[in-house]
Amino acid sequence: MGGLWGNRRVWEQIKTGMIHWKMGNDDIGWLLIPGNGKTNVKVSQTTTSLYLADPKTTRFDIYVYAQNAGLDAFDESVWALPGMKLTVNTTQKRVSVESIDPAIFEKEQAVSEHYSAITKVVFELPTSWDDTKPLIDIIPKR
Amino acid sequence: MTLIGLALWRELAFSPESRQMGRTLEAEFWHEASTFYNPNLKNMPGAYFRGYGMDMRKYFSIMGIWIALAVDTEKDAPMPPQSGPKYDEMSNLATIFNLGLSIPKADLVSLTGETKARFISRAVPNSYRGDTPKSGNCPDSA
Repeated sequence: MGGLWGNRRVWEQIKTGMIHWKMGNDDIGWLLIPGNGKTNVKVSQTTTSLYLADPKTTRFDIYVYAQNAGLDAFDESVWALPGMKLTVNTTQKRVSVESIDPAIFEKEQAVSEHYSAITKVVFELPTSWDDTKPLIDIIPKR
Repeated sequence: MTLIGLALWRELAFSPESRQMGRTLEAEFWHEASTFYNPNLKNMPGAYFRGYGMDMRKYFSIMGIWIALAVDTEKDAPMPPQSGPKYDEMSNLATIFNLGLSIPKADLVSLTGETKARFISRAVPNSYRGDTPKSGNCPDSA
């Protein structure tokens, strides 16, 4: 896991948060928090936590690559992915979980390699949110 | 790309004192890179600045090329086995071969060794005394 707090430049070439893991088929799964300025990312020894960075933010996105994981793997509180289970603790409203066009993802997020499928999870915030409280905690467990 | 700049400094600076400065900075850069690199995943945990991908084994990153040359074995190389996205970064090979590698032995070992669980935190200041950020890179820059 890796995370950045205090990103000062909105740029698709900055990835402020991520989790990598081995999926068991010699492939690497990952979770990506884009450097769009909406969130700060804090990582502890067990948890990746997102906090509000821009008070104008109404939605935030999380991208996941986990080969052969269907959308039904993304439960409200547990994302059961190949090689990794992500427990998701949040009170934010989950707006959508969708499989997006990898070509669009690669262009928008400045990712060079090609993927067969990318999942985008979108959450919606209430109109005001205390930026000292995490928007979402993600706890990986193999 | 920073490593290439530092290697040019190490080899081509006018004075011995300045070349030593280049060597020192390069050694510190390698130490930082090898500290964060995960040889088990053959990836950096992030966060990424100017990251052009999410999996260094699937596209040609300049850092991956440097590490591949340093470890000098195909199985430990964080790069695609043959051709792949951003293959044009291989054009840096000529410069790298001309300048040579200068990597501390302990850091070289850690690029291939077993990975133990680590928790690393870095505080990066917004500005350094005497440094002038490029215009437009930061919201408050001139």
